[in-house]
Amino acid sequence: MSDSETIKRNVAIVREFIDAWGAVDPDAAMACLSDDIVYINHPLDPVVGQHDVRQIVAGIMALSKAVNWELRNCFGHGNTVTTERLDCWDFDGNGWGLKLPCIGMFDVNDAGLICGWRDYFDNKMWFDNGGPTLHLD
Amino acid sequence: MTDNSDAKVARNEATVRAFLKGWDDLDVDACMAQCTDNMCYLNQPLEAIRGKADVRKMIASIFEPAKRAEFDLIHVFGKGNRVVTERCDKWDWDGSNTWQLKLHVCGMFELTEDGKILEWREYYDNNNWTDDGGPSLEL
Repeated sequence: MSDSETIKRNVAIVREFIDAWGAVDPDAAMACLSDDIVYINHPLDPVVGQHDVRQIVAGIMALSKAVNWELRNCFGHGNTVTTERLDCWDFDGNGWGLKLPCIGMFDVNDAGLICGWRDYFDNKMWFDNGGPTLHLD
Repeated sequence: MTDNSDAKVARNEATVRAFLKGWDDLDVDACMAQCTDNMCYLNQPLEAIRGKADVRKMIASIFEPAKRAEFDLIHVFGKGNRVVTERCDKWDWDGSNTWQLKLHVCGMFELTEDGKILEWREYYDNNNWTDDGGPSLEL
């Protein structure tokens, strides 16, 4: 695979992951992630592995009535893809109660699955506007 | 030049690296030399700071209490007029030769056709910044 083909493939899996959030579909989201996925919401601790990351992802989705991650920029280099987003969340059925500006950096492995996911955003904005827990108790 | 011009992207990445080197050197002139007169500096979700004079004032006021800074660049890459930087910004506020703040941050830069920084959008945890000694980010 050429470099540009790899980047195209990597961008596609990241877009698929973002679409799974829009569909509020934890199975579809988790299918994009490797078994050894490392998920970091800085400065919180990393969440590692399918089992634990699924708990977080499914936990957030269970509390979400609707989700739309508006993609403002999405491009890749090497094994990494950047996504600049406005993540819109409806936690109570009353519309987008939270519009969270965010950048997510994704590392994609040789098999084409996301193995690193690092989101950068203001945690206070998340938690003050209804965002559920982002770590395992 | 097209969106896929490698030369343009390389030039833009060099501009962004020069801008960030200005932070390592706590040199506001070096930073501002890479920016347009109408640049916008946005620390999400705070208010945008617009125009070279106000952005200069903001950056200078961050440098003022800093003894040393070093920005580790984890990823720097671009496409078209945009460059993303994934970084760990390290700050020494008290001169003890340690890093009291290590801020994990992503910055998205938009550049003009002639390679100057027009917009800079930073994404990070604001409490992480303020809790570990970061000064005010409002004018």
